[in-house]
Amino acid sequence: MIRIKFLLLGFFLFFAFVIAKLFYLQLIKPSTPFFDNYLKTRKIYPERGRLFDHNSRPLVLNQNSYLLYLEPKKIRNQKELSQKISEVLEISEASIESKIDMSKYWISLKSGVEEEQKKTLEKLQLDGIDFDYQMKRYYPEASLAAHLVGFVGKDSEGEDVGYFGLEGFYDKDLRGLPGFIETERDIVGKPILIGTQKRLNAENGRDLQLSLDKTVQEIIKRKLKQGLESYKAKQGCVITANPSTMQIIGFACLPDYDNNQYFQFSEQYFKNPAISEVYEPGSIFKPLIMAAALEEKKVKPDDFYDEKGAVQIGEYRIRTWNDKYEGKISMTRILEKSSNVGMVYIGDKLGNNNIYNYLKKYGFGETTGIDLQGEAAGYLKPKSNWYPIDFSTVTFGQGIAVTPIQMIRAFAAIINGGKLMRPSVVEKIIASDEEKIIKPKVERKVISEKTSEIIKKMLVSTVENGEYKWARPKGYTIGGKTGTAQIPIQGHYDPSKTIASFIGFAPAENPKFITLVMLREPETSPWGSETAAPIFFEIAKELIVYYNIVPDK
Amino acid sequence: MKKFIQYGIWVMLPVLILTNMFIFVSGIMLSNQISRFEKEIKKIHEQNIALNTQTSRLDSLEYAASVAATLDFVKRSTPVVLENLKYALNR
Repeated sequence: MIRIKFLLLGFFLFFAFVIAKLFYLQLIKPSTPFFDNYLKTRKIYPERGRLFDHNSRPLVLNQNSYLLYLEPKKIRNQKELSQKISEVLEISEASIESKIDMSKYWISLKSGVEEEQKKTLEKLQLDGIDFDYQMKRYYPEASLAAHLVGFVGKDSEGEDVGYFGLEGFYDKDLRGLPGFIETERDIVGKPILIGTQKRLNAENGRDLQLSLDKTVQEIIKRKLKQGLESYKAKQGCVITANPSTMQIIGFACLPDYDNNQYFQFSEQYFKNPAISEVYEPGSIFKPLIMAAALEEKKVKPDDFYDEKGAVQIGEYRIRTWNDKYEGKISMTRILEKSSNVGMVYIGDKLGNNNIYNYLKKYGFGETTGIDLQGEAAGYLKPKSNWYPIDFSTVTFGQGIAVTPIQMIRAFAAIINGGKLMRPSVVEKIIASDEEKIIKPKVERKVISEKTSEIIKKMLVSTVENGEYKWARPKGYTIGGKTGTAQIPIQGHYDPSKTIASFIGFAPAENPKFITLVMLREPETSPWGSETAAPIFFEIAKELIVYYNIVPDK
Repeated sequence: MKKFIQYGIWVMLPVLILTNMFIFVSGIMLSNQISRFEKEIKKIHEQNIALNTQTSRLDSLEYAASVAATLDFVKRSTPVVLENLKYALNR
């Protein structure tokens, strides 16, 4: 009987010990690693959507990356650890040591550790270090389309967020939906089958297929870079699009930044000048006013204007760019010689109301709706604030602030049969189970097809009979217009500081591409005809070969 | 009857103990398998991404340009069709 009592007492003491230990582990000191791991609720991060060019070639992918963390309680030799990590990751020993706090269980040391670095560290068999899997962006073509793509940074909670360009605009589509996993694990981290096992899979981000062609992008960026160096310009942009749909085929601005190392650049580099900065377009604006006047039947291509000399508007005197006047000239000749006084005459014929209405119709003063983050609307002041001189200067592209994307869109409208299109970069959004095709969108009809045909012929003539003879590809009809806009500085124009541009298209009959080249403050020559135009023709030569375009004359 | 029940209990007891042990061991083995497959899936996923990255790097214009530069293929020639239209027009 006594033995049974001892046995019962033994059992009682044993269970009392178990209960006391559980009480200690669960209530008094619940944050031991074991209980942290007992019921694991882990976020499953979705894979961010990838970006492909028009031919499904990758532009932005994801690559393996790791978060290096420390478990200070397991560290044996702190000095050796700091020294070895410092050698592999190229961060100072002092900065590693300052992060090590021996009272903590877990310390994040460095995110974005590459696979090779991880392998090297693993070979060293250091105690107290481990890795967490992460992903980071990989750009196979480096910063080929930096402004267009944007970059992925962090928000205030340390989550990935897309900034600028496509990463910013399509962030919600690209980031996907996180899932979670809740699982009961035993002391060695293995799942307990009869315990809680819940899993909600993450939904990966959607992939984007762009209208951008990687080869065209390489061509325009290379030519722009060469142009910037040759003409010593501060900044330059080239936009190439399909004029009938306004789908962007190439889009480059320099100087740009490295998407991978974006944090090494200041904020000014992130802004995309082609959509976020406004400028006075200068003479490339003239065909738009000419097209409006033709559409309104205020002038005909074979009408004549007597170019006698400078024109006085109030207190201002308007001259041609070289102060030379040819007497009787046709409307086509006005564009060919880029006559400012001729354009003032056309503006007079068109009338102030029509000028203003057409500026609105062409979409100036409003965003184009391009699918890139950070677009500016430009500025079109209310009609009541316009002075008579404003209606005259706007006919040759001064006194109005537009973005390059607005300019190319309006120009595309006058050569594509009159349709003002919404520019776009993405042509397909691909989810795991469906594809959404983004169709080109016609915003409005600006001019008729007949007027469009007339203006196209005038623009071909402008290239062929203009003041400047360029090295054009033989056998092809190319239309276009140069522009040189002085930059307003503190209320007046500085003639030495200009924005030189050229906008052209080929082949003229059925244009395959339209390209705008813009250089800010070229030093070798201020003129668009001597700087931007040669870049355009260099690009056109390569695009003609790439697209296998047949000679048309 | 009482003896039969007692005999039954003595037979059932080891059967239940063995069944429990079997379920317990199977559970551990299944847990091990789940753990192993989880690790393997993660490893394959990482390998897949690494291979994808490598393939796209080798297929990139950037890599082609670097190889061309290494091999000294730096001269770009203008296609003859642009200078001599008879080829382009097939005459």
